[in-house]
Amino acid sequence: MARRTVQVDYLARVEGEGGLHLTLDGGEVKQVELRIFEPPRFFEALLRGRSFAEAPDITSRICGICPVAYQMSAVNAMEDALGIAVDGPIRALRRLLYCGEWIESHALHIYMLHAPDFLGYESAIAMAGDHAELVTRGLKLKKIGNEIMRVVGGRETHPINVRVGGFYKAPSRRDLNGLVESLKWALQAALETVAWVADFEFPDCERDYEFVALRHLEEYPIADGRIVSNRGLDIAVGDYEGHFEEIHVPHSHALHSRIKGRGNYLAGPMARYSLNYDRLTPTAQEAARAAGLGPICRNPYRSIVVRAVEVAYACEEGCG
Amino acid sequence: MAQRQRKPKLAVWKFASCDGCQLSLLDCEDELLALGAAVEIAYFPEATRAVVKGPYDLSIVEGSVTTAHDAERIGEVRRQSKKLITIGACATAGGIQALRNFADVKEFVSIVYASPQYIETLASSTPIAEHVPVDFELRGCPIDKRQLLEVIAAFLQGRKPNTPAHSVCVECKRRGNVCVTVAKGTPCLGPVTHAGCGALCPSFDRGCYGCFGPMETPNPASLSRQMSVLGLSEGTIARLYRSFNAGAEPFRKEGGRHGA
Repeated sequence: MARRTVQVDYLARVEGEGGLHLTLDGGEVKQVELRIFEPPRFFEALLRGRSFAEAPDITSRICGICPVAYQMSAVNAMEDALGIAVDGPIRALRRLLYCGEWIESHALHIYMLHAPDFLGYESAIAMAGDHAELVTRGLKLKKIGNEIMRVVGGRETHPINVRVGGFYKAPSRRDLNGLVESLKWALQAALETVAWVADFEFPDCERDYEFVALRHLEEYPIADGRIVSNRGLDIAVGDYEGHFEEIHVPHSHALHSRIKGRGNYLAGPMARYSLNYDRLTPTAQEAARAAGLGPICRNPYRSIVVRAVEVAYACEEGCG
Repeated sequence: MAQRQRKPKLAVWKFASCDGCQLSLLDCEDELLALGAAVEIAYFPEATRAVVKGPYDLSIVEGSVTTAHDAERIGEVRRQSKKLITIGACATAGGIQALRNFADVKEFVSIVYASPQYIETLASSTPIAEHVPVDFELRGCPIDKRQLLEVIAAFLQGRKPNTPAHSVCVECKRRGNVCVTVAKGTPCLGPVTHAGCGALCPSFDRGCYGCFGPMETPNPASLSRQMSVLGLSEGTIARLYRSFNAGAEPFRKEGGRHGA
């Protein structure tokens, strides 16, 4: 059969910029190239010579959709280098800030980026024409994530309150208490979201992944723990470079990361969930079960359900 | 009754940036559906796969120009746009990636990429207004979403946006903040920085780091003298100006005066 190519030059409704090139031979995919053409900005180079105190603010600008992830990684790295251990209420507040980002970013992903593909709409705004209540629920959920980031971090995008060693200013008890009622509603909305997306039609597609994620002794992991996989990897974060390699391919500005001597792996919510199901709250586990997710999810199309389960988890941790 | 007017066509474009400023539009959770009803979202890949051909009534541009391809693309965007506004520090000053303007970009490439020959990039990161005429520049890293709504509303209504160009100091006074520099000796760029954030950092007991860029007619030399009095080294003073708006002329010049 004929060889043909499928070329999408600009992927819509993704975080960042990329294109996709597929080469097919008969019915079989021969080659996949995800082309991240987003122009390089050279953070690794421009951070040299800066003060350690500036690193969280500068790295935040790598991504405006998940600034907390970068900011928190930078602050953890600086604290590790300085031998500072952050614990107790400050650590709990940082997890709350991160939960805010998970709720916001996952709600954005589920309702505004991903769900329109399952339901056949060009955008969430178009989807609102037929499903106003659903889209409104998603936007409200997203807004509550943003509220958490505003209360703890100062603003939604590029929060300003995180500093090496802690925070610049503790949020007021009144502002924090104000989040509890919102989060109780958000937990219910998240559970409804799990049930909603669980009913989408998913292609029957299971991949044999090596999952890589953090794993913590007690918690569902956010920013602490060991790096583990389902194929025996179990290392301290500091040993990352000994076990992973980053490769520069000609067609993409995003470096490809591989496990040395083994190859590709999957990171992100599906990997985190599949390696840490036992660390979820009973509510989140029950929601996952009811949604037909096993303790391990190998179907990439179902990642939308996994994200919804993580939103429920984050809302519940935020309430507590 | 007059025939219902055609909805204005809105386009959102991305250049070198973090996505945060265009996300501010999606962060308008309470207003987004109303906005979607008031305008035709004709091009906004982060939010929709719909692509409606130009010309566009209003183009919103995020990001700076860092590649030869983007230098051409912004010209095409301008040709298709009746009004063009830039959002954020990248589009109005070159962004944090403009730190390459003070360094050797080839060396930067070699630090990050194993195969520099795959990377095509310009030696500088420049704001949109250096390439095409811009109708309005909205400041911030990131922009403030209330200001974004104000700017979009103003353009749809054919009036001037109400985004004061005074300093962050004025916003501090309005909030009743105690001055972090006077009271605690904390370095703060508030006296030379454009308003818009609502004096966010001083309200969190830290100095302003200038993410909204220079105010109208700033006096950074005077501020730098005060920073010296506080005991800051020349290098530290230079770094204050060399961040998200390093490419904005008053900050570029003042950073240069302190050895950066």
